[in-house]
Amino acid sequence: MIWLFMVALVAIAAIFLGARRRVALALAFLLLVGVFAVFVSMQWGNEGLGL
Amino acid sequence: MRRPVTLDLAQRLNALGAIVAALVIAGAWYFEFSTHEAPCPFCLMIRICFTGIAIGALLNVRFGVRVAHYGLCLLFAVVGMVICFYDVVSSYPPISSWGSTPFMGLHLPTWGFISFAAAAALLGAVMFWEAQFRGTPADTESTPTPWRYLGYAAFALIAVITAGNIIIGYTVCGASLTCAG
Repeated sequence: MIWLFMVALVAIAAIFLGARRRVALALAFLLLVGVFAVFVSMQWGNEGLGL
Repeated sequence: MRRPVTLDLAQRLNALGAIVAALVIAGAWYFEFSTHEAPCPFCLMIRICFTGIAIGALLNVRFGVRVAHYGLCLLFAVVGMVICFYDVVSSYPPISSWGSTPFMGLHLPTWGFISFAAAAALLGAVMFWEAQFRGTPADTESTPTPWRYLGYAAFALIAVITAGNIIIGYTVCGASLTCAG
């Protein structure tokens, strides 16, 4: 999962160093999709919420 | 028509928002280190969502205030709410899987849910301030020095917190792609 934090750090560095806005937004969206994908992949097939 | 005062204020508030998001993660660090308990994978994902909110705020600081940046913050808040909600209901009643002791009667995932809900509500409210979207963004060089340092502090703080989370994440999940195995 550390790849998500790495993407976040790269996004922060890109914003600070003045990369193109599109690049920064793309990295942020990669982070957003990535965290949701990891969450879904961890829970796939784990139905019932344990209640 | 350039409206630097309004825009500068919005950018400063976004810098403060990024600092608050970083401090929330720092609070989780405090619980982690004071109780000597490693965070669960859910907790790491919650931290990523707070980092995402900070990134959206930093985009506003660097490139000027845009609706898309607030939208990004809102999406991270929603994903964070989903993860927190699942974390709370999937391990009810709150037991050792959450590790940390309750803070003011609630465990950290519950506080996370409340924080993300509050952030989403705040973002919705901030969108009513339409004047912030007009005009040219104030660049870093033209901003008075103390406020420029506020932006730098926001960048530095969230960068240090994220770098620390890389180390913590490695100790919890190793190099695993999803932390599932």
